[in-house]
Amino acid sequence: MPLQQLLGIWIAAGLTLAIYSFLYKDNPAYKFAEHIYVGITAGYALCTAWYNVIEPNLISELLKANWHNPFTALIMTWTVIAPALLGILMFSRFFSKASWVSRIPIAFVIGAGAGISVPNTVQAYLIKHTSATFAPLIPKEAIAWSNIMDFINPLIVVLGVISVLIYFFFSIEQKNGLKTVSWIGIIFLMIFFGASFGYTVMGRVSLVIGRVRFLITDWFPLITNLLGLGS
Amino acid sequence: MGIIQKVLNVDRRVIYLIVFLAVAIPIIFPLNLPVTLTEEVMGVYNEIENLPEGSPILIAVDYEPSSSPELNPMTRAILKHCFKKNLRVVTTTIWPTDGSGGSIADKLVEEEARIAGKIRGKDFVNLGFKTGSYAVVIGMGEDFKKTFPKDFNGNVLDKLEILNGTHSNGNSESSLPNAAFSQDARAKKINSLKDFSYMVCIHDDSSVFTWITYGYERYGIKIGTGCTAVMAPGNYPSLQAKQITGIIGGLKGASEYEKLMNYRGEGARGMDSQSVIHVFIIILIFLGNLTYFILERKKTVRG
Amino acid sequence: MKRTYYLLSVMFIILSLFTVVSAQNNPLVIPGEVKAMDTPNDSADGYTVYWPVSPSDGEGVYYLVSTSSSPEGPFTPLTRLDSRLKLASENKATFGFSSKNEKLHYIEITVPKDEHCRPLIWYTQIAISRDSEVIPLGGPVTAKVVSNWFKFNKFNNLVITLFLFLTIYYFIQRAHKDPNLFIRRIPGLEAIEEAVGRATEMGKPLLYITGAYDIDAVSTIASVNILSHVSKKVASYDSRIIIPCRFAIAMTVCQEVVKEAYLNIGRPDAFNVHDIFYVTSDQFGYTAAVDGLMVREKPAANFFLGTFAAESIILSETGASTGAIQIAGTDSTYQLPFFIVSCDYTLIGEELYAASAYLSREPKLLGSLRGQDIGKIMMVLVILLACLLLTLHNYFDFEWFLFLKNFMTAI
Repeated sequence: MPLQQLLGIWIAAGLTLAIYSFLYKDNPAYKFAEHIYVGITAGYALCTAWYNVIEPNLISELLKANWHNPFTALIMTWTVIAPALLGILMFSRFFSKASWVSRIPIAFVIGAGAGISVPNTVQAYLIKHTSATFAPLIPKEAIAWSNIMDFINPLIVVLGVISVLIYFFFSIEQKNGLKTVSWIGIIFLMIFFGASFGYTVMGRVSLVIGRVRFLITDWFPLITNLLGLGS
Repeated sequence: MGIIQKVLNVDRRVIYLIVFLAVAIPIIFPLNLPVTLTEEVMGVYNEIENLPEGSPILIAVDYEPSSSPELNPMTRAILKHCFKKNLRVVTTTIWPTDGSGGSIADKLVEEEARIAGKIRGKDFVNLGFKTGSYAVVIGMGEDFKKTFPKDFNGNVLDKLEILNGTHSNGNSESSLPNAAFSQDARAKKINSLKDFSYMVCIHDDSSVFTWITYGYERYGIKIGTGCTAVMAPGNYPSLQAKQITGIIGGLKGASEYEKLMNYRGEGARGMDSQSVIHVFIIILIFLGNLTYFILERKKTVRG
Repeated sequence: MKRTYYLLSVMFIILSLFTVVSAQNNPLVIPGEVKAMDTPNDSADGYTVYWPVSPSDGEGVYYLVSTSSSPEGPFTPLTRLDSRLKLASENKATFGFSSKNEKLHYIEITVPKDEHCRPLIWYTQIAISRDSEVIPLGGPVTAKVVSNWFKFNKFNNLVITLFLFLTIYYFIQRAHKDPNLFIRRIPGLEAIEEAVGRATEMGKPLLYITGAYDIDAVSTIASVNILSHVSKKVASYDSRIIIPCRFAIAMTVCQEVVKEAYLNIGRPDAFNVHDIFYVTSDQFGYTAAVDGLMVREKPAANFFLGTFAAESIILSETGASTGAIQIAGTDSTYQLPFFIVSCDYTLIGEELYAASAYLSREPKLLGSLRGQDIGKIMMVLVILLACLLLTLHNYFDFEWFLFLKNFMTAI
């Protein structure tokens, strides 16, 4: 096994155990791993931003232009320079007197973002999802008992959507009939939360499985080999 | 202290230890529990299975390294399927730190391609990461090569065979006069998102909503999704609205896909531990509720 | 007996051969006229060619589409369509809702453009084919390609967006005039007061987290509004509030808000700027740091208000293990289940905004909340009406019913 891979496995195993040691109680090993993690993630975010955003989209584009002829170069790269300038304006937030300048790029981002996303989101979620809710309240013809759920399921969806919408109605006090519908809404919400929670337990356990498998299949053989127990 | 109090006050470290053992033992001694198939996973599998040979498929690997244990198995299974069907595989990522700027996708696609004997640039390409989220999806819809002039390794996309398509040596209907009209999926050029026959978005965040909102609604690309279990329930409304064809949810979904591909990978092996832990958690929930209600009842009787 | 078998077998073979031969001899029926029109709602991408379905349509029958720059040709093969597919009724954006569309085939032709991006004049020839037989459907067709200013198939989006926009705008204006616009009190608000009181009694600090997003997110703004209320209580009770931040700008805003709260109560000297600090923007890096903080400082109350992701369960579980009273509120539906099981009170989804509007009486928040309520009523009415129409359509098969039903369900 190459040295770098060997070293990688030992470091990964050590940090995994250090982080899991928190389950027993807070200790210096956990603190050490925690601080390393915080530092590395900050550095990682910076590297990702540099190599995936700033370097390919700004620096390399600027270097590509022929700056011996500055006028032509400016015309060729204005689509890069203008957003870069807007980005630089964001740093004005660090100076309290000039912090208002940062509103210009924010306005640009929010304006363009809302302009693009509002119609698309209305189409993709409001219209499509609402229309997917519609269902006939009485079947056209007699349904076999085996297919009864095909008719009932859409009605449950209709009831769920309406009752949850009413639960989130804040303009009037929820009393009498409204309270009952809103109570049905809570039941639907809780069922969703339960299902979601079940799914998430599965997700979190998957992460533990990933780590434990790493320890057992990658790291443990190294120890057995070290102790001369390996085959 | 009664037995009920003892159950309620059990040290949480005991539970952690049992969870660890429940995970570790099935890894060391696999149980090979059966995997049942669900319609949601079949929704993705059937779409890929029914694609003609050479069809272009887009795979968005929109997840962080921290979600790899949960999502890598399904990404591998899907890649295996695509390569088995001889599809043209294009991978990308649109989420800032997800996919480590495309390196997760690159590692997985490289490994699976090596197993399947596929060539980079001809059978698969990894585009890497591009900042801009929805702007990238719109850009891909308008002009694919302008949005991604180069791939993850710096190769010029315009020169790659995978995007320009290749003509096959003929097909079974070549004797018929309308044979010239039958479209060969391998010859299809990729100039826009519209040219992809299908896409799978594998995500641990909300990137699938960007793909649905802009990719599907604007450019009509058919989408299937693979996601962490946490994200799965949130994808069901989109499935009901037919915006996506199927959901591969977490390790369970991955194990189903592996079964469809006739192999037991990390997904199926992980499900052994999953199943044991799920039984343990159900017992804990049952015990917790039982003891809670008994104590409540005692209180009311005393009160 | 044997002879009967032979006879029956021969009859069967003759019959089957006869059926096959008669099917082969059945000539291809040319449907009506092929027409072309500019594809609506596009930016001069091309035109749409359509023609009636043929009685011959079925397995093995294809429509061959070829294009050329001249009506005389030569025509280049473009594609072939399965005669059982591509009905105009599938493309409501171009053909509308009429039931007649089920009797039309269509294909959208993309027209090449010249160097000035102007569409060329482009001809399309359609032919019907089965095996070796190919019959052209009349002569080549073309249509003038124009760029459309407006996508009429998205008109419903405009109506809905304008309706919501105007309603919210109206209620914001009303809230400016009347800041006491009614909003029902959210039960979670009492829990917030109780948590601050308990922390003061115990002489321990409070921990406040504004979520995973920076200050430009509405959920963070809502959280900061509630922070303003909480920090006033903290200042008046002479308690201590710790705010670890994920974003530098959110941190600055939190510092300002808390400082102002201390000023309003008249205790600016008690404000400690170092209790509101930046950690890291990384999700799990931040979570690990806050976990450590919770275990070491042991706050009496934890507030998790804002948008959260996978860190929600880790934070709230650690908080619960330290015995703190916990109040959560988030608009991220995926995270609500964890907060509900591990916190003492949870503001579900929009309740976070409602609580923020209730406490701050900020006209924009109040107005948008009221406006959205109207939107919700509209949505409930539309769902009920559509369900009613779908039910009635089962019994009354009128054309206008079909139109309304399709309009509501298929756009």
